[in-house]
Order: sequence, then structure tokens, then C-alpha cells
Amino acid sequence: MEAITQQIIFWILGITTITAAIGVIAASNTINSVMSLLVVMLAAAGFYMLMGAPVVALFQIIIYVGAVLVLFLFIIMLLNPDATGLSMSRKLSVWMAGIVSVGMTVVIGWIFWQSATQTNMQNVMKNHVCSCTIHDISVVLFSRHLLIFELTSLLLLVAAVGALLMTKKTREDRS
Amino acid sequence: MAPSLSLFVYTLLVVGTAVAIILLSHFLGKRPLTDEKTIPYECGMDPLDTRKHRFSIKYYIVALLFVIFDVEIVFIYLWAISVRDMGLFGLLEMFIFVGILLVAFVYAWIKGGLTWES
Amino acid sequence: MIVNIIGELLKIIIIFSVIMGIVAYMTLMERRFLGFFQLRLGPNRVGPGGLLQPIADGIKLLFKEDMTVLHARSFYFILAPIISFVAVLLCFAVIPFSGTMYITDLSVAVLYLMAISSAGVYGVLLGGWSSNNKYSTLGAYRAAAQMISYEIPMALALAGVLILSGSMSLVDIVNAQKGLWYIVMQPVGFLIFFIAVSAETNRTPFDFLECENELVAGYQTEYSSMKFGMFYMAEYAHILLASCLITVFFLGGWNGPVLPALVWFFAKVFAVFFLFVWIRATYPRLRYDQLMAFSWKFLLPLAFLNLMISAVLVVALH
Repeated sequence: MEAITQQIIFWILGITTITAAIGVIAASNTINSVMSLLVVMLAAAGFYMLMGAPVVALFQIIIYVGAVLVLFLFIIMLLNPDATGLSMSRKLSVWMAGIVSVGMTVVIGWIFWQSATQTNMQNVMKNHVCSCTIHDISVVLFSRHLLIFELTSLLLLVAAVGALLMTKKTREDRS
Repeated sequence: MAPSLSLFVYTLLVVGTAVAIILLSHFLGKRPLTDEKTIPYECGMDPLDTRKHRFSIKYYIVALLFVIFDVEIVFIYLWAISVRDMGLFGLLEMFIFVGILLVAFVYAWIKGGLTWES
Repeated sequence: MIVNIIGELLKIIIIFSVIMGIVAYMTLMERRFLGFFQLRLGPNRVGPGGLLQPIADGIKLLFKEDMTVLHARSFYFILAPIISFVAVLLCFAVIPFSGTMYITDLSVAVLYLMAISSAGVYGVLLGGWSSNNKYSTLGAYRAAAQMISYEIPMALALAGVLILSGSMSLVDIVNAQKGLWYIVMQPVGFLIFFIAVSAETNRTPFDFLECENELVAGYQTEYSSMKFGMFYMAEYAHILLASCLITVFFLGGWNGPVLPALVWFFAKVFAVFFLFVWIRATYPRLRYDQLMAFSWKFLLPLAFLNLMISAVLVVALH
């Protein structure tokens, strides 16, 4: 019973994700595109939930739905690219999309190949069935993965500085 | 009943109510009598222009700083619930983390990213 | 087994109905209180003492013209009030009204609250943008920027509570306050949370989404009938949620001597709600640049300072 329910939820989420992902690239209106991306993010949170990782699912929603996509929506509404004709040239965007998607396919394919061939990877997956509480996650994060945690703050620092520099007026704007 | 199931039932109830209210008012409400009524509001005259504006960059900076601090808060929450067990070491970790982010904060402040005027 | 499930279902339905009932009557309470503050009576004609006013308002709104503005994005125009309404009401799923009266007790309830309530920004942004009206759009930007700016001090003030409780479950947090309420141990955190939450709910002195002398009615300008009603209900549900959260995090939740837990909980909730109305009746609106500066340049550093000092004290005393 449990397994069948999970299967059904998995397929619903999967179909939703793919449909919405197609919507992201196919939508002619930028707002529709962002809202499709929102559905993709929510479905991804659903996947995490299904895998028994509610904490990751909530992080996904807090950061992507609550912050990153709000930023996207803000920018699109601010610039109003559909009305002001402010969009990247078609040729350039096709090229960039091509490079990114080929790169992602290679990376994901490599991970698939690794997990399918290497038995120790499969053992890792089997042995790490998550039954941990949020306390355990916190303890592991702040002891074993300490360096990554501190590096995150550096990354955020760079992001903040970059964002502020981008909005600075250049000499041409002033004159 | 499992917590996720009660949550699911409650979600269905809330969303169902919301959709039901919208549908009910759609069927019970009158249609606008004249087309004039559906013109966007502009103090009683025809609208001068619609939304073909572009808005201040300040909103973008606020949204971006929000993303950064939001990520930070997620980490702080994880740290907050176990700081008691981690003791001095945990304290030190978070001081470094917050310290680095405060650099970003101070930088934004000096560069005027937090000032709304002008 | 079956009895158990039916009992749970009944509990969910009862909690939902009670919330909706309180939200409806909060509109009346606010109007009457404001009336008394301004030396007038407020609505007192429908039913004894105006008690049937919310029902009359609801029925009136249902039969109003259901308008959609010219050139509006009708899908998002309808979706926006639904998002606002759902995002607020879903938060009540984790609020413990007493030791047993809650829909669910998640171990990550605080994260759940953050995740769900952050969706409220979409209702505001989409509602303003889809209305095809410059006042709505401007109101939406302002309200959304305000909401995200005040979310950070609010969340940081909450982190102080989490340090003390060591748990994200709201039931655990209330149980941890059996002896001493957290308002005593986190007075600064309480003040920051209170200010930030009244900005989140867009209450005066922070009601920038509808500063009527500049923006007509902000993002709600083009909304009519029950679509407007949904925004209105979401607003009051948000105030109820804010009162509940303050009660749970700082005022000891259902804890209290002699009287039953539910009585204590709702007494505290209504006391906080009265405080909100009192503030609305007392203070004028701020200026927008002051509002943003207050959050980023005062509340945020103060919240960080409060968090770090509490952490040091907790570790030192432990």
C-alpha cells in the first residue's frame, strides 16, 4: 500500500516537473516562465519529501521559492522586458542554453554512470537511509562539513559585493 | 493519523475553501453593467498610461540582499537549535560566519545599497 | 482505528472553522475598538451590538459585481488572492492552541512557517502586477519590498528563541516556557519580533501597501467582490497568525495557572491583537525611506547583536 502510494506520488511529481520545465523554456511571457519555474521548485521539494528528507524540502522552498524566485519576479516586473523590448538576442540565448544543457547532461550522466557501476556508491545509498532528526543534521553540518559551511559565507560575501557593483553607475551613465 | 496526512487533509480543506469562495462569488455576483467600469482606476478619468514603466534599482538590491540573508538564516536556525551542545566551538564557528557576512553588510551600507533616497 | 481517523478529521474541521470564525469577528472587533479609540461607536446596527456585521459583510461581498480589469492577466488576477489566503491559513496547521489541540506537531515547525509564509509575497506581487494599473503595481513593489525586508529581523529574533528552546517544534517551545516566559529572557527579541511582524502584516505605522493618499489602495485597487474579500480575510488571518506566534514564542502559549489551557491561549492572543489595534489607533504612518532604513540599518544589526549575546550567555550558563 505504502509503496504503491509512493509510486503514484512519484509519477505525478515527475510529470509535473517535466511539464513545468518545458513551460519554463517554451513560455513566451517571462512571468509565465518564472511561475513554471516555481512549480518545478515545488515539485523538487516534493521529491525530497518523498525521499524522507523534509528538512531539505523545506530549505528548498524557503530559499528557492521564498527568496530566489521572488528576486526573479521582482527583476522581471521591474524591467518589464515584454513591454520594453529588453531581451537578449535570440541567437546568443540559443547558444548559451546549448552550452549549459550539454554541460549539465554530461555532469548528470557521469553521476548516473558512477552510481550504476560502482558498488560502493550503491552501498552508500543503501546505508544512508535517512532516519535522522534536524539535530543530527545540525551536528554533522557544524562538525564534519565545517569548512564548507564557512566557505558558504565567503560565497555569500562575493555575491553581495558583485550585486552591489553591478548596480553601480558607470562613467557613461553619469554623463 | 500520520502528521503528513493531517497536513495534507488540512491543505485540501484550505485550498478547497479558497476556490469555493471564488467560484461562489463568480456565480452569485453580478456582471459589470458597462465596459467603462472595467477600465483601470485613474481618479475618474481614462488612464494616462499603463505599466510600461521601469522601476528603481533599489528594489532589486533589497531583493538580492534578502536572498543572501535568507540563506544565512537557514544556517543560523540549524546552528541555534544545537548551540547548547556544541559549546564554545559552535559559538566560534558562528562568529566567523556572521563576521564574514557582516563585511558584506557593512560594504552594502557604505556603498549606499541600504539607503533609499536619491 | 476508524474512530481515531474520524476524530482527527473532526479536529481539523473544528480548528479550521474556529479560525475562520475568529478572523471574521476580528474585523468587527477592530472596527469597534477603533471606533471607541476615536470617540465614536463603530458598526452597531446589524444584530445586537453589531454582532452580525461580519456575516452581513460577507453576504454583501458575495453578491457584488465580480469585475476583472481591462487587459488584466486574468489567471494571475484570480490566483493572487487565493495564494494570499492559502499561504496564511496553512501556517495555522502547526500552531498549538493547547497541549492536544493542534493539527500537526512537526519537528521542523519553525522552518515550515518560514517556508509557507514566504509564499505570501507572491499573492501581493502577482495581484499588483496582473491588475494593469500603475497604482497597483507600485503598491505591490512597495509591499513586497517591505515584507522581505522585515522578514530578516523577524527570523533573527526567532533564532534567539530557538537557542533557548533547542527545538523547532512549537509544542516543545511552549513546553519549555512552563516556568519562565521567553519574553523575560528575550525582551529585545520580543520587541524586534513584534515590530517586524506588524510590518509583515502591513499594519499602521507600516501600512504602505494601501497608503490611500498616494496609492489609492495599493495592490488591491482593482479588486472587487469576494476576490477583495479574500485579500481582506488573508490580512486579518495574518494578524491572528501574528498574535498566535507572539503568544507561542514569547508569552508561554497555553501555559498558565488555574484556567484551562485554551482559555489562556486565546486570552493572550486577544491581548496581543488588542495591542495591534491600539498601535494602529495611536501612530501615524512612517515615510517609505524611513521604513526601509529602520529595518536594514537598525533592526537588522540589533537582531544580530541580540542573537550573539543570547548565544554567548546560553553557552556560558550551560
